[in-house]
Amino acid sequence: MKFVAYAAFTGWALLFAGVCGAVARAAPFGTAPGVGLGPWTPDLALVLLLALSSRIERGDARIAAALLATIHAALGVDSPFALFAGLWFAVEILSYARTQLRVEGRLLHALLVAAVSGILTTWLHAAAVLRAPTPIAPERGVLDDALAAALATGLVAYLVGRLPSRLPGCPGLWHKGESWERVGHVRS
Amino acid sequence: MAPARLLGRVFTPLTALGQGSVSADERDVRAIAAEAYGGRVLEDLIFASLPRAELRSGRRCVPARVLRRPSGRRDELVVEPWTLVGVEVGQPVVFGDAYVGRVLEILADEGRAVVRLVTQPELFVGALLAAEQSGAEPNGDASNGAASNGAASNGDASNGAASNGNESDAVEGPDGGSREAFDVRFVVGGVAVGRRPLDGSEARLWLAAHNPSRPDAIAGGELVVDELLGELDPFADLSRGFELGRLERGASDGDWHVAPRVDFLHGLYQVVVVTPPGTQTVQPPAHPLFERRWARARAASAGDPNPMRAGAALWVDGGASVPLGAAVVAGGRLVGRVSGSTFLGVDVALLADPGLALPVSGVPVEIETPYGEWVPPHDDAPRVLGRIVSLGLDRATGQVAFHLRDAVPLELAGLPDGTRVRLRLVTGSGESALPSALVVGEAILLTGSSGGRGRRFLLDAPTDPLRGAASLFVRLADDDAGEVAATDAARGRIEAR
Repeated sequence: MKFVAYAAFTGWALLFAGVCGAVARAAPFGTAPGVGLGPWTPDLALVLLLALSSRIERGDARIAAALLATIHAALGVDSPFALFAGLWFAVEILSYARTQLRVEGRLLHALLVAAVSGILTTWLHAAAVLRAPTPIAPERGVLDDALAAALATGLVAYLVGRLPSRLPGCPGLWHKGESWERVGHVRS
Repeated sequence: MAPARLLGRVFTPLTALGQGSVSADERDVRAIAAEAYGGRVLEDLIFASLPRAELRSGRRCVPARVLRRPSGRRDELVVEPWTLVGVEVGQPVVFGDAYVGRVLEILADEGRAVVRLVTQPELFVGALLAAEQSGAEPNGDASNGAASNGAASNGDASNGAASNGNESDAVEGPDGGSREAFDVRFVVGGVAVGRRPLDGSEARLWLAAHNPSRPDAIAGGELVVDELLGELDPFADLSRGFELGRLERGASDGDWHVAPRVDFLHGLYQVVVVTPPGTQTVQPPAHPLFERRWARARAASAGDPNPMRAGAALWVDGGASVPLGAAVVAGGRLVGRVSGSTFLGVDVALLADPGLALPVSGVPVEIETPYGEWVPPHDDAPRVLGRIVSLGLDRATGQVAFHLRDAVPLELAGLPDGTRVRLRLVTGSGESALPSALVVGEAILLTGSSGGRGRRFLLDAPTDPLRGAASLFVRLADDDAGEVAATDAARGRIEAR
């Protein structure tokens, strides 16, 4: 059953990552030709991962993070190791947060997603700079990009709420009890 | 990762998002690509690498394409001469009028040769600062305080640059009177590194000059190759007269170095092996797009999920292995370089991906007059620009910004420094699987030098080069065989229309 749920998660994540890649470079809103949304593109796949991570076991969240890192690495040019490390860190943050907070609240969850998105953007930027054969100072500051990504992704997370975790196939991974109850159950 | 890439192809139709009709700019760029099909750019690049007529007389010039540098050896080049007939170890290698190094080894089976550059500390070449440029006087010169007795110091018998301090000439002094001057000889070889400037720009590099035959040489003259001892260099006659660069004085007495005329690190794409005359020349090789060293590829993703990067996954037909850094072309124009490779496909860093680096040459297309008009230049020979690094998208204009490390000033005959020049940028070779003469785009640069700080410029090329690209080709390793990436000039021109 879980295998089917993982397969469903992979399919949805692949769709969202593909849409992000297309929207980021398309120009649907009259920006400069070919620029697209650029850093304001919300990371839909990250929204899905974190929406699930607040409701699933920590081990399952790590597997989901690894799957998403694989998808990102397959579609883009970021280092697979940087993606694995960054997304692993993201689910660990959320797993820790849900032991301390009731993260199901729409606003709090959106803030957490925004923070994770900003950190992940900064991390991937740092990894790219370290891997570059020549030192570079990109056109836009990394903090500008991280802030834009955090705002866009956080806004989408706020708007969709728990909807991503209810996508067909995904409920097989999570439990109906709220996260703090789940944690309490595990602790007991 | 492979299954994900396989599934990613399901979403390839998403690449059509936001696509419209081909813009006028894109048509222009395709027109440029069509010219590249014709091979004129490549011919110009080869012609620009030949020495001037006086230096060609009595010599035979064999053009050679720089393929790469041997692993871990920056001071050597692997080159592919048009022919190996008549090419021997020890023969000089030049770029234009500038001396570059010597043939170190001939790889007959591969049709290649290894060149040792003059930046290698073990390669010594005798150099001459001619009397009319040296400023050295037999009775001493108060300006430099070096008492000269007219005797040659001759401290370098080991390298053949023995002094002939008796050669003298009458030159016009600063006061307008005539005075006697002497040739000054040096030994040149290795690299002298300057201090890193406080403004963070890169440290300057020079060729190291040793063992001057006289202590009272004056900086500023041009050093040319002039090896005296034939037993140390059997091809000394062939290399005589080629330029090494401008002599400069270092921070202390006796510290001499030479400002080179070429960028030895990033600016050697096409060189010439100088051989004795008499051997029949051969036809030039085809434009790289016509070589059977390309594999057809298709987009396997709609774009990079990370919006701060500009990359894509490609599906390579036939599962051919592609080396890292290989060129990816669409319509004859470079769109990116391979940044990762798996058995199922490759990752491509597009031109807009921050950190992408390319060696480029620039072909002058237009110059700006003092009245603000753009006119064709009198001198449209390609210039080696060096290495450019992508800084990502300029959000205001949507163009890709690049940083150019200009080790050699951009000079056009008759134009003062600071003149704006529109250049058509084409790739240079010298890196694995990146052939020369692939069109990159156009850019406006200022003549002169940045003084080591480098320059930022915007590239006039499609920001999203994969949009509308019907056929993509990836360059294979130099030893692999594939298919050609172009058909003929007529098809290119049809596409341009």
